[in-house]
Amino acid sequence: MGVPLYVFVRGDTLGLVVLAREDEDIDALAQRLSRAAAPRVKVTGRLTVLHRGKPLRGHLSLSEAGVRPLDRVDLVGEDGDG
Amino acid sequence: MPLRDEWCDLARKLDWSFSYADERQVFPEVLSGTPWLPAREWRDWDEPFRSTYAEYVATQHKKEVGFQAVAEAVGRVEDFAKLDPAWLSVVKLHMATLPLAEFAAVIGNLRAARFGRDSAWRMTSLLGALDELRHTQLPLRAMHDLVRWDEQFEWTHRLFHSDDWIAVAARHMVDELLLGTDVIEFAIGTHFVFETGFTNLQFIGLTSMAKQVGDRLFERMLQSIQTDEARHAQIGHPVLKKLVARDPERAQRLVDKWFWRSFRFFAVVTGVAMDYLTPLSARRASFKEFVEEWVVDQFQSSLDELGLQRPKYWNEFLEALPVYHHMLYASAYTYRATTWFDFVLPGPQEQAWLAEKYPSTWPQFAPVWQNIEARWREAGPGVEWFTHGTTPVSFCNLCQLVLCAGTPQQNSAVFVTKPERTYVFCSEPCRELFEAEPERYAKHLGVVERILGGQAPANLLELLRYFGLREQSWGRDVVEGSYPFLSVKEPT
Repeated sequence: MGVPLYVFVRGDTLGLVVLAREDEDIDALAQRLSRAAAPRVKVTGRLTVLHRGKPLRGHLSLSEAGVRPLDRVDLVGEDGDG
Repeated sequence: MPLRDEWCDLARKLDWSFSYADERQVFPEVLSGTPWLPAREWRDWDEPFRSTYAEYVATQHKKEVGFQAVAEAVGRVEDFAKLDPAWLSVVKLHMATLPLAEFAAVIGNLRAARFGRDSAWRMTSLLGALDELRHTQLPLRAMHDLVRWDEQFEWTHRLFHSDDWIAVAARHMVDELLLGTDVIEFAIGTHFVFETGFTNLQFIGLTSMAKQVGDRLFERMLQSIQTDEARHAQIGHPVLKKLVARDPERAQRLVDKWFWRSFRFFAVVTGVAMDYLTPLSARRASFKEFVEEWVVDQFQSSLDELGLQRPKYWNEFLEALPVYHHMLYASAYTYRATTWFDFVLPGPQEQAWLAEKYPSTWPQFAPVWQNIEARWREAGPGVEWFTHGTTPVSFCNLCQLVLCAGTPQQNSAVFVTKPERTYVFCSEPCRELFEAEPERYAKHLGVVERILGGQAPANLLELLRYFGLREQSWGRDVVEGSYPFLSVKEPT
């Protein structure tokens, strides 16, 4: 099932709306968010997805991580901007 | 006493007593505004211009003759073809946002011409309505012949009839301000805050820039409009003065609200024009400097004079002043196909100027532009899509603008979950304004709600068609990435 999410990538200038899947894992989502913001920001290093300000484990699926439709998630890179 | 003063008020300030209906029926509160006061309380209402209809017609005729002469002399395709392509985007942006918003202002003024509580107010509003009709016609007339040359000029008329995201945001504000308010809120929001507070930016700042770039038609049109605005904007002050005396809390609330909403509008339209789309050689000051001179100082002294406080969101406004339009422009550059005008990539000289004008905030934006430059270098000229986003963008549920407030390191979006749905706002002021009047805003469907509800497509190419854009008209980089500075090898 599709899960629309509000996404903010650290270093980016705007928020995006990404349609994720319930069974998509957090690592795959992070890669997708990084590509979505790529025209403006290069997110480098280890990628971390934050939900309600807390980092999510990469191997969990969205539903396992408790991410619900229209939640806010933030993508942070280990190095610099991201 | 000069002769004119003997008869002037007979022509513009003539009230009478009603015998077939009572005053509350003639001027219902829902239209005439709160607080509802009897006519005697409004009897001292006046404004400084005190024009009569005959004087108005004579003056406007002279202005029209002057404008037509300039339009005939320098309003041809070959005159516009000589202008800097980035400046043409300033023209396309302003010409599109102006005429149908002005047409909504015709209706707002006509409502005040009927439901304003004093005859002089009604008379001045009637002249204001005629002004706004003129401001609808001037850009449509001026841009008409250019449509055959450049299809983007068609958006002078098309914008407000489209579902482009800028149109959605513009209509949301214009519909409320000009069509959805009682005449007291209309007078304060439109005349006092929007026109007196902010339009000087347009008319003085942009007129000066138009002159510098050699766009005499745009310069003349703005000057001609400004003299109208200067007159009918005077309606706001005496209405606000009356409201301050009777209900100072409401007066302050209306100023707070419309100051914030007006700032957002001007940051988008004028901020981007002044700091990015105007050629460097024609810039005399930054957007921030203009706002500090023409808004901060002057508006504050108008408020002091009335005994009002600074708008509630003053600090947020000052914080956003050196940031917001930079966030917006970088965002919009990478979604340029969603607009009807072209964008310019700020080169080394432009970036040096921006760094000088915005020393505390520009360092946050330099990496964004470096990234965009690197992608242009990688893709090469003409490959627009490599520096263009494809993921849908999120929008504020109050101002309907992109969620691009705050800074690149900390976007200031605020989420509010209600039983019926989640709302998202670009900033605390937008959240507060929404929550103060949810009945006004809650049912509005922004672009994201339309996508999620299946009314608009999520795929960007299809969304562009939903916005009313065609490949011939959607925005591009002005030189499609062919900048000399991009061919210089980046330092490693």
